[in-house]
Amino acid sequence: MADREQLAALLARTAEGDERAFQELYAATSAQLYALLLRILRNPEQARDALQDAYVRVWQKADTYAPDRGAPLTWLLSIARYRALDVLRRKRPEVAMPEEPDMMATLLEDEQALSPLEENENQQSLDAIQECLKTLPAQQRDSVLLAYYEGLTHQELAQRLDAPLGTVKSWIRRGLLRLRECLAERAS
Amino acid sequence: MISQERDDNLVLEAGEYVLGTLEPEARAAFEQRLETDPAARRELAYWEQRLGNLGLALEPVEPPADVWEEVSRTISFKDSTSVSPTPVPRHVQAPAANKLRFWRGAAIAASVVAMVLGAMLLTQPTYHRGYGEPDPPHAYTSIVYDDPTGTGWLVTAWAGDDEMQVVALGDYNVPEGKELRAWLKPENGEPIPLGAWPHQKGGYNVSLSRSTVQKMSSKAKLMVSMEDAEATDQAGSTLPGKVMWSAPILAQTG
Repeated sequence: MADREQLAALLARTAEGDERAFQELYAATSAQLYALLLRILRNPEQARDALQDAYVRVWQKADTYAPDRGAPLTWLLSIARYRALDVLRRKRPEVAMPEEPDMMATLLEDEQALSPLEENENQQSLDAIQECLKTLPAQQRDSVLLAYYEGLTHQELAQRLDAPLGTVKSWIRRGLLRLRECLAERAS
Repeated sequence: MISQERDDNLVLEAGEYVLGTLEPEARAAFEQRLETDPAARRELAYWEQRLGNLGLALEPVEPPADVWEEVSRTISFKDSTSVSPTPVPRHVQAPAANKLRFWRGAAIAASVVAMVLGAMLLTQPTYHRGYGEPDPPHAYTSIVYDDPTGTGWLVTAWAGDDEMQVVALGDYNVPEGKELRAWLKPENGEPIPLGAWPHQKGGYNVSLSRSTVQKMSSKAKLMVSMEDAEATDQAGSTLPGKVMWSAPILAQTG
Protein backbone atom coordinates (compact mmCIF):
# COMPACT_ATOMS: atom_id res chain seq x y z
CA MET A 1 0.00 0.00 0.00
CA ALA A 2 1.36 3.37 -0.99
CA ASP A 3 1.65 5.99 1.69
CA ARG A 4 -0.29 9.19 1.94
CA GLU A 5 2.18 11.31 0.01
CA GLN A 6 2.45 8.79 -2.79
CA LEU A 7 -1.31 8.55 -3.11
CA ALA A 8 -1.67 12.33 -3.04
CA ALA A 9 0.89 12.60 -5.82
CA LEU A 10 -0.94 9.99 -7.87
CA LEU A 11 -4.19 11.85 -7.34
CA ALA A 12 -2.59 15.11 -8.44
CA ARG A 13 -1.31 13.51 -11.62
CA THR A 14 -4.66 11.90 -12.18
CA ALA A 15 -6.24 15.33 -11.94
CA GLU A 16 -3.99 16.38 -14.81
CA GLY A 17 -5.31 13.54 -16.93
CA ASP A 18 -2.41 11.14 -16.41
CA GLU A 19 -3.99 7.74 -17.04
CA ARG A 20 -0.89 5.89 -15.95
CA ALA A 21 -0.98 7.59 -12.57
CA PHE A 22 -4.65 6.77 -12.34
CA GLN A 23 -3.90 3.12 -13.03
CA GLU A 24 -1.30 3.12 -10.25
CA LEU A 25 -3.79 4.76 -7.94
CA TYR A 26 -6.32 2.08 -8.81
CA ALA A 27 -3.80 -0.69 -8.21
CA ALA A 28 -2.85 0.76 -4.83
CA THR A 29 -6.33 1.38 -3.49
CA SER A 30 -9.01 -0.65 -5.28
CA ALA A 31 -8.79 -3.66 -2.98
CA GLN A 32 -9.61 -1.49 0.03
CA LEU A 33 -12.53 0.18 -1.73
CA TYR A 34 -13.81 -3.15 -3.03
CA ALA A 35 -13.73 -4.61 0.47
CA LEU A 36 -15.89 -1.77 1.73
CA LEU A 37 -18.32 -2.05 -1.17
CA LEU A 38 -18.65 -5.79 -0.63
CA ARG A 39 -19.25 -5.18 3.03
CA ILE A 40 -22.01 -2.64 2.40
CA LEU A 41 -23.69 -4.16 -0.64
CA ARG A 42 -23.12 -7.86 0.08
CA ASN A 43 -23.42 -8.58 -3.58
CA PRO A 44 -20.27 -9.06 -5.69
CA GLU A 45 -21.92 -7.92 -8.90
CA GLN A 46 -23.24 -4.73 -7.35
CA ALA A 47 -19.95 -4.14 -5.57
CA ARG A 48 -18.12 -4.56 -8.84
CA ASP A 49 -20.37 -2.07 -10.62
CA ALA A 50 -20.13 0.38 -7.74
CA LEU A 51 -16.34 0.09 -7.76
CA GLN A 52 -16.30 0.85 -11.44
CA ASP A 53 -18.58 3.85 -10.91
CA ALA A 54 -16.46 5.03 -8.02
CA TYR A 55 -13.24 5.09 -10.02
CA VAL A 56 -14.86 6.82 -12.95
CA ARG A 57 -15.97 9.39 -10.39
CA VAL A 58 -12.45 9.59 -8.97
CA TRP A 59 -11.14 10.27 -12.45
CA GLN A 60 -13.69 13.04 -12.87
CA LYS A 61 -13.24 14.56 -9.42
CA ALA A 62 -9.54 14.09 -8.80
CA ASP A 63 -8.95 17.80 -9.20
CA THR A 64 -11.27 18.50 -6.27
CA TYR A 65 -9.09 16.59 -3.85
CA ALA A 66 -7.09 18.77 -1.51
CA PRO A 67 -4.90 17.58 1.35
CA ASP A 68 -7.11 19.43 3.82
CA ARG A 69 -9.89 17.06 2.85
CA GLY A 70 -7.96 14.35 4.61
CA ALA A 71 -5.92 11.34 3.64
CA PRO A 72 -6.30 10.31 0.00
CA LEU A 73 -7.39 6.80 0.85
CA THR A 74 -10.23 7.88 3.13
CA TRP A 75 -11.31 10.40 0.51
CA LEU A 76 -11.47 7.57 -2.01
CA LEU A 77 -13.33 5.39 0.46
CA SER A 78 -15.90 8.15 0.91
CA ILE A 79 -16.50 8.32 -2.82
CA ALA A 80 -16.95 4.56 -2.98
CA ARG A 81 -19.26 4.56 0.00
CA TYR A 82 -21.49 7.26 -1.49
CA ARG A 83 -21.82 5.06 -4.57
CA ALA A 84 -22.83 2.15 -2.39
CA LEU A 85 -25.42 4.27 -0.61
CA ASP A 86 -26.83 5.29 -3.98
CA VAL A 87 -27.16 1.63 -4.93
CA LEU A 88 -28.89 0.82 -1.66
CA ARG A 89 -31.31 3.72 -2.06
CA ARG A 90 -32.25 2.55 -5.51
CA LYS A 91 -32.94 -1.01 -4.48
CA ARG A 92 -34.86 -0.38 -1.27
CA PRO A 93 -37.09 -1.73 0.17
CA GLU A 94 -35.77 -5.16 -0.75
CA VAL A 95 -32.41 -4.51 0.87
CA ALA A 96 -31.05 -7.68 2.42
CA MET A 97 -30.84 -7.94 6.17
CA PRO A 98 -27.97 -10.17 7.17
CA GLU A 99 -28.21 -11.76 10.55
CA GLU A 100 -24.84 -11.11 12.07
CA PRO A 101 -25.48 -9.09 15.18
CA ASP A 102 -22.03 -9.54 16.65
CA MET A 103 -20.05 -8.55 13.61
CA MET A 104 -19.82 -4.93 14.67
CA ALA A 105 -18.13 -5.80 17.91
CA THR A 106 -15.76 -8.03 15.98
CA LEU A 107 -14.67 -5.19 13.79
CA LEU A 108 -13.71 -3.22 16.84
CA GLU A 109 -12.05 -5.94 18.85
CA ASP A 110 -10.47 -8.40 16.47
CA GLU A 111 -7.02 -7.17 15.63
CA GLN A 112 -6.81 -9.75 12.86
CA ALA A 113 -9.60 -7.94 11.08
CA LEU A 114 -7.46 -4.88 10.63
CA SER A 115 -6.00 -4.40 7.22
CA PRO A 116 -2.26 -4.88 6.92
CA LEU A 117 -1.67 -1.23 6.26
CA GLU A 118 1.85 -0.26 7.07
CA GLU A 119 1.20 3.42 6.97
CA ASN A 120 1.31 4.81 10.48
CA GLU A 121 -0.94 7.75 9.98
CA ASN A 122 -3.77 5.65 8.63
CA GLN A 123 -3.33 3.21 11.47
CA GLN A 124 -3.36 5.98 14.05
CA SER A 125 -6.49 7.48 12.55
CA LEU A 126 -8.17 4.11 12.57
CA ASP A 127 -7.06 3.51 16.14
CA ALA A 128 -8.47 6.87 17.18
CA ILE A 129 -11.95 6.30 15.88
CA GLN A 130 -12.02 2.70 17.07
CA GLU A 131 -10.95 3.70 20.56
CA CYS A 132 -13.55 6.46 20.63
CA LEU A 133 -16.25 4.11 19.41
CA LYS A 134 -15.45 1.80 22.27
CA THR A 135 -16.28 4.58 24.70
CA LEU A 136 -19.83 4.87 23.37
CA PRO A 137 -22.75 3.02 24.92
CA ALA A 138 -23.35 -0.19 22.96
CA GLN A 139 -26.54 0.95 21.23
CA GLN A 140 -24.98 4.19 20.04
CA ARG A 141 -21.88 2.41 18.81
CA ASP A 142 -23.83 -0.32 17.05
CA SER A 143 -26.10 2.24 15.40
CA VAL A 144 -23.18 4.21 14.00
CA LEU A 145 -21.33 1.09 12.85
CA LEU A 146 -24.37 -0.51 11.25
CA ALA A 147 -25.10 2.71 9.41
CA TYR A 148 -21.51 2.94 8.24
CA TYR A 149 -20.85 -0.67 7.27
CA GLU A 150 -24.29 -1.60 6.02
CA GLY A 151 -25.76 1.72 4.95
CA LEU A 152 -28.88 1.20 7.03
CA THR A 153 -31.51 3.92 7.29
CA HIS A 154 -33.10 4.96 10.56
CA GLN A 155 -36.05 2.67 9.85
CA GLU A 156 -33.82 -0.28 9.03
CA LEU A 157 -31.76 0.35 12.14
CA ALA A 158 -34.92 0.40 14.21
CA GLN A 159 -35.91 -2.98 12.79
CA ARG A 160 -32.48 -4.47 13.20
CA LEU A 161 -32.00 -3.24 16.74
CA ASP A 162 -35.64 -3.81 17.63
CA ALA A 163 -36.01 -0.31 18.99
CA PRO A 164 -38.41 2.59 18.34
CA LEU A 165 -37.49 4.86 15.49
CA GLY A 166 -37.08 7.92 17.68
CA THR A 167 -34.78 6.03 19.99
CA VAL A 168 -32.57 4.93 17.15
CA LYS A 169 -32.35 8.46 15.81
CA SER A 170 -31.32 9.59 19.26
CA TRP A 171 -28.65 6.88 19.47
CA ILE A 172 -27.15 8.00 16.19
CA ARG A 173 -27.12 11.65 17.14
CA ARG A 174 -25.74 11.14 20.61
CA GLY A 175 -23.21 8.71 19.25
CA LEU A 176 -21.96 11.19 16.68
CA LEU A 177 -21.71 14.00 19.19
CA ARG A 178 -19.82 11.83 21.65
CA LEU A 179 -17.58 10.61 18.91
CA ARG A 180 -16.84 14.19 17.90
CA GLU A 181 -15.96 15.11 21.47
CA CYS A 182 -13.74 12.08 21.96
CA LEU A 183 -11.88 12.60 18.70
CA ALA A 184 -11.33 16.25 19.60
CA GLU A 185 -9.96 15.25 23.01
CA ARG A 186 -7.56 12.77 21.47
CA ALA A 187 -6.37 15.33 18.95
CA SER A 188 -5.70 18.00 21.60
CA MET B 1 -25.76 28.69 23.87
CA ILE B 2 -27.64 29.24 20.69
CA SER B 3 -24.47 29.12 18.61
CA GLN B 4 -23.45 25.88 20.37
CA GLU B 5 -26.77 24.32 19.41
CA ARG B 6 -26.28 25.51 15.89
CA ASP B 7 -22.83 23.93 15.76
CA ASP B 8 -24.19 20.67 17.07
CA ASN B 9 -26.84 20.70 14.41
CA LEU B 10 -24.21 21.11 11.76
CA VAL B 11 -22.11 18.36 13.31
CA LEU B 12 -25.12 16.06 13.21
CA GLU B 13 -26.28 16.99 9.75
CA ALA B 14 -22.83 16.43 8.30
CA GLY B 15 -22.26 13.26 10.30
CA GLU B 16 -25.57 11.78 9.29
CA TYR B 17 -25.04 12.85 5.69
CA VAL B 18 -21.80 10.88 5.64
CA LEU B 19 -23.37 7.93 7.41
CA GLY B 20 -26.27 8.04 4.95
CA THR B 21 -29.01 8.24 7.56
CA LEU B 22 -30.41 11.66 6.65
CA GLU B 23 -33.94 11.56 5.30
CA PRO B 24 -34.14 12.43 1.57
CA GLU B 25 -35.45 15.92 2.17
CA ALA B 26 -32.84 16.72 4.79
CA ARG B 27 -30.18 15.24 2.56
CA ALA B 28 -31.20 17.45 -0.35
CA ALA B 29 -31.27 20.48 1.96
CA PHE B 30 -27.80 19.71 3.26
CA GLU B 31 -26.48 19.30 -0.28
CA GLN B 32 -27.86 22.74 -1.05
CA ARG B 33 -26.20 24.12 2.02
CA LEU B 34 -22.89 22.63 0.98
CA GLU B 35 -22.91 24.80 -2.09
CA THR B 36 -22.82 28.02 -0.12
CA ASP B 37 -21.66 27.25 3.41
CA PRO B 38 -17.92 26.68 3.95
CA ALA B 39 -18.57 25.57 7.52
CA ALA B 40 -20.82 22.81 6.23
CA ARG B 41 -18.15 21.72 3.77
CA ARG B 42 -15.55 21.67 6.54
CA GLU B 43 -17.79 19.58 8.74
CA LEU B 44 -18.52 17.22 5.88
CA ALA B 45 -14.81 16.79 5.21
CA TYR B 46 -14.26 16.17 8.92
CA TRP B 47 -16.72 13.30 9.01
CA GLU B 48 -15.71 11.87 5.68
CA GLN B 49 -12.18 11.68 7.01
CA ARG B 50 -12.97 10.32 10.47
CA LEU B 51 -15.67 7.86 9.52
CA GLY B 52 -13.78 7.01 6.35
CA ASN B 53 -11.10 5.52 8.55
CA LEU B 54 -13.54 2.75 9.42
CA GLY B 55 -13.13 1.49 5.88
CA LEU B 56 -9.51 0.77 6.70
CA ALA B 57 -10.58 -1.83 9.26
CA LEU B 58 -11.60 -4.22 6.51
CA GLU B 59 -9.28 -6.75 4.99
CA PRO B 60 -8.61 -5.66 1.39
CA VAL B 61 -10.22 -7.80 -1.31
CA GLU B 62 -8.82 -7.78 -4.81
CA PRO B 63 -11.56 -6.85 -7.26
CA PRO B 64 -12.10 -8.79 -10.50
CA ALA B 65 -9.54 -7.84 -13.13
CA ASP B 66 -12.13 -6.71 -15.62
CA VAL B 67 -13.21 -3.81 -13.40
CA TRP B 68 -10.08 -1.92 -14.29
CA GLU B 69 -10.58 -2.77 -17.94
CA GLU B 70 -14.04 -1.26 -17.81
CA VAL B 71 -12.86 1.81 -15.95
CA SER B 72 -9.99 2.24 -18.36
CA ARG B 73 -12.26 1.86 -21.38
CA THR B 74 -14.66 4.39 -19.94
CA ILE B 75 -12.09 7.07 -19.29
CA SER B 76 -9.91 6.40 -22.29
CA PHE B 77 -12.78 6.82 -24.72
CA LYS B 78 -11.50 4.20 -27.06
CA ASP B 79 -13.61 3.35 -30.11
CA SER B 80 -15.46 6.55 -29.51
CA THR B 81 -15.45 8.33 -32.81
CA SER B 82 -17.71 5.97 -34.65
CA VAL B 83 -20.67 3.83 -33.92
CA SER B 84 -19.25 0.43 -33.21
CA PRO B 85 -20.57 -2.94 -32.15
CA THR B 86 -18.11 -2.75 -29.27
CA PRO B 87 -20.20 -2.43 -26.13
CA VAL B 88 -20.08 1.10 -24.83
CA PRO B 89 -19.61 1.29 -21.07
CA ARG B 90 -22.98 1.70 -19.51
CA HIS B 91 -22.03 4.86 -17.64
CA VAL B 92 -21.30 7.21 -20.45
CA GLN B 93 -20.87 7.27 -24.13
CA ALA B 94 -17.48 8.47 -25.10
CA PRO B 95 -16.37 11.66 -26.73
CA ALA B 96 -13.26 12.11 -28.79
CA ALA B 97 -10.15 12.05 -26.64
CA ASN B 98 -8.98 15.52 -27.60
CA LYS B 99 -12.30 16.92 -26.44
CA LEU B 100 -11.86 15.28 -23.09
CA ARG B 101 -8.45 16.76 -22.69
CA PHE B 102 -9.70 20.19 -23.42
CA TRP B 103 -12.48 20.07 -20.91
CA ARG B 104 -10.83 18.10 -18.24
CA GLY B 105 -8.75 20.76 -16.56
CA ALA B 106 -11.33 23.47 -16.84
CA ALA B 107 -13.55 22.96 -13.85
CA ILE B 108 -14.85 20.46 -11.38
CA ALA B 109 -17.52 19.14 -13.67
CA ALA B 110 -15.61 19.60 -16.86
CA SER B 111 -14.94 15.98 -17.62
CA VAL B 112 -18.56 15.14 -17.07
CA VAL B 113 -19.57 17.95 -19.36
CA ALA B 114 -17.17 16.70 -22.01
CA MET B 115 -18.57 13.22 -21.80
CA VAL B 116 -22.11 14.50 -21.98
CA LEU B 117 -21.28 16.66 -24.95
CA GLY B 118 -19.69 13.68 -26.58
CA ALA B 119 -22.76 11.61 -25.94
CA MET B 120 -24.86 14.42 -27.32
CA LEU B 121 -22.85 14.67 -30.49
CA LEU B 122 -23.20 10.97 -31.04
CA THR B 123 -26.93 11.07 -30.58
CA GLN B 124 -27.85 14.24 -32.43
CA PRO B 125 -29.90 13.84 -35.58
CA THR B 126 -27.88 14.19 -38.75
CA TYR B 127 -28.86 16.93 -41.17
CA HIS B 128 -27.88 16.28 -44.74
CA ARG B 129 -27.10 19.45 -46.51
CA GLY B 130 -27.29 19.84 -50.27
CA TYR B 131 -27.68 22.44 -52.97
CA GLY B 132 -30.79 24.51 -52.65
CA GLU B 133 -31.59 23.15 -49.23
CA PRO B 134 -31.96 25.56 -46.36
CA ASP B 135 -29.30 25.75 -43.73
CA PRO B 136 -29.69 23.26 -40.93
CA PRO B 137 -31.79 24.55 -38.08
CA HIS B 138 -30.25 26.06 -35.04
CA ALA B 139 -30.13 23.84 -32.03
CA TYR B 140 -30.05 24.84 -28.42
CA THR B 141 -28.33 22.64 -25.92
CA SER B 142 -27.82 22.79 -22.24
CA ILE B 143 -26.42 20.64 -19.52
CA VAL B 144 -27.80 20.68 -16.03
CA TYR B 145 -25.37 19.07 -13.64
CA ASP B 146 -25.76 18.26 -9.99
CA ASP B 147 -22.26 18.00 -8.61
CA PRO B 148 -23.03 16.35 -5.27
CA THR B 149 -24.79 13.40 -6.89
CA GLY B 150 -23.15 13.44 -10.28
CA THR B 151 -26.58 13.35 -11.85
CA GLY B 152 -27.14 15.43 -14.92
CA TRP B 153 -29.56 16.24 -17.68
CA LEU B 154 -28.69 16.77 -21.29
CA VAL B 155 -31.10 19.05 -23.10
CA THR B 156 -31.51 19.62 -26.82
CA ALA B 157 -34.12 21.83 -28.47
CA TRP B 158 -34.38 22.43 -32.19
CA ALA B 159 -35.47 25.76 -33.58
CA GLY B 160 -38.78 25.28 -35.33
CA ASP B 161 -39.60 22.24 -33.25
CA ASP B 162 -42.19 22.17 -30.53
CA GLU B 163 -40.46 19.93 -28.08
CA MET B 164 -37.10 19.45 -26.52
CA GLN B 165 -35.28 16.25 -25.78
CA VAL B 166 -34.14 15.70 -22.24
CA VAL B 167 -31.86 12.86 -21.28
CA ALA B 168 -31.68 12.29 -17.56
CA LEU B 169 -28.32 10.62 -16.99
CA GLY B 170 -29.28 9.23 -13.61
CA ASP B 171 -31.95 9.20 -10.96
CA TYR B 172 -32.35 12.27 -8.79
CA ASN B 173 -34.02 11.82 -5.45
CA VAL B 174 -37.06 14.08 -5.20
CA PRO B 175 -38.69 14.26 -1.75
CA GLU B 176 -42.26 13.08 -1.46
CA GLY B 177 -44.74 15.83 -2.22
CA LYS B 178 -42.22 17.69 -4.36
CA GLU B 179 -41.46 17.74 -8.03
CA LEU B 180 -38.92 19.30 -10.35
CA ARG B 181 -40.03 21.86 -12.87
CA ALA B 182 -38.11 23.60 -15.64
CA TRP B 183 -38.01 27.24 -16.62
CA LEU B 184 -36.54 29.25 -19.42
CA LYS B 185 -35.06 32.48 -18.12
CA PRO B 186 -34.60 34.94 -20.99
CA GLU B 187 -31.89 37.54 -20.71
CA ASN B 188 -34.49 40.14 -19.90
CA GLY B 189 -37.79 38.97 -18.59
CA GLU B 190 -39.47 36.69 -16.17
CA PRO B 191 -38.88 32.93 -16.18
CA ILE B 192 -41.16 31.04 -18.54
CA PRO B 193 -42.49 27.75 -17.16
CA LEU B 194 -41.57 24.75 -19.30
CA GLY B 195 -43.34 22.12 -17.24
CA ALA B 196 -42.41 19.06 -15.21
CA TRP B 197 -38.80 17.94 -15.28
CA PRO B 198 -37.83 14.26 -15.23
CA HIS B 199 -36.00 12.94 -12.21
CA GLN B 200 -35.58 9.34 -13.30
CA LYS B 201 -32.92 8.12 -15.68
CA GLY B 202 -34.04 7.98 -19.29
CA GLY B 203 -34.91 9.99 -22.36
CA TYR B 204 -37.87 12.32 -22.45
CA ASN B 205 -39.58 14.75 -24.79
CA VAL B 206 -40.82 17.97 -23.19
CA SER B 207 -43.40 19.92 -25.19
CA LEU B 208 -42.67 23.57 -25.86
CA SER B 209 -44.59 26.33 -27.51
CA ARG B 210 -43.02 27.88 -30.59
CA SER B 211 -42.95 31.22 -28.83
CA THR B 212 -40.92 29.69 -26.03
CA VAL B 213 -38.39 28.23 -28.45
CA GLN B 214 -38.09 31.64 -30.07
CA LYS B 215 -37.02 33.07 -26.73
CA MET B 216 -34.13 30.65 -26.46
CA SER B 217 -30.71 32.15 -26.96
CA SER B 218 -27.20 31.85 -25.67
CA LYS B 219 -28.04 34.65 -23.27
CA ALA B 220 -30.97 32.79 -21.78
CA LYS B 221 -30.68 30.22 -19.03
CA LEU B 222 -32.38 26.99 -18.25
CA MET B 223 -33.48 26.74 -14.65
CA VAL B 224 -34.85 23.78 -12.73
CA SER B 225 -36.70 24.33 -9.50
CA MET B 226 -38.09 22.19 -6.72
CA GLU B 227 -41.78 22.83 -6.25
CA ASP B 228 -44.58 21.55 -4.09
CA ALA B 229 -46.34 18.97 -6.23
CA GLU B 230 -49.75 20.03 -4.96
CA ALA B 231 -49.15 23.65 -5.81
CA THR B 232 -48.07 22.87 -9.33
CA ASP B 233 -50.96 20.48 -9.85
CA GLN B 234 -53.19 23.48 -9.70
CA ALA B 235 -52.96 26.41 -12.02
CA GLY B 236 -49.19 26.34 -11.90
CA SER B 237 -47.10 29.07 -10.42
CA THR B 238 -45.70 31.74 -12.69
CA LEU B 239 -42.43 32.07 -10.86
CA PRO B 240 -40.07 29.33 -9.74
CA GLY B 241 -39.93 28.33 -6.11
CA LYS B 242 -36.58 26.98 -4.99
CA VAL B 243 -34.18 27.09 -7.93
CA MET B 244 -31.98 24.02 -7.78
CA TRP B 245 -29.88 24.54 -10.87
CA SER B 246 -29.35 27.25 -13.45
CA ALA B 247 -27.54 26.26 -16.62
CA PRO B 248 -26.34 28.24 -19.63
CA ILE B 249 -27.78 27.53 -23.04
CA LEU B 250 -25.54 26.94 -26.01
CA ALA B 251 -26.85 28.01 -29.41
CA GLN B 252 -25.51 25.82 -32.19
CA THR B 253 -25.47 26.66 -35.84
CA GLY B 254 -24.92 24.52 -38.87
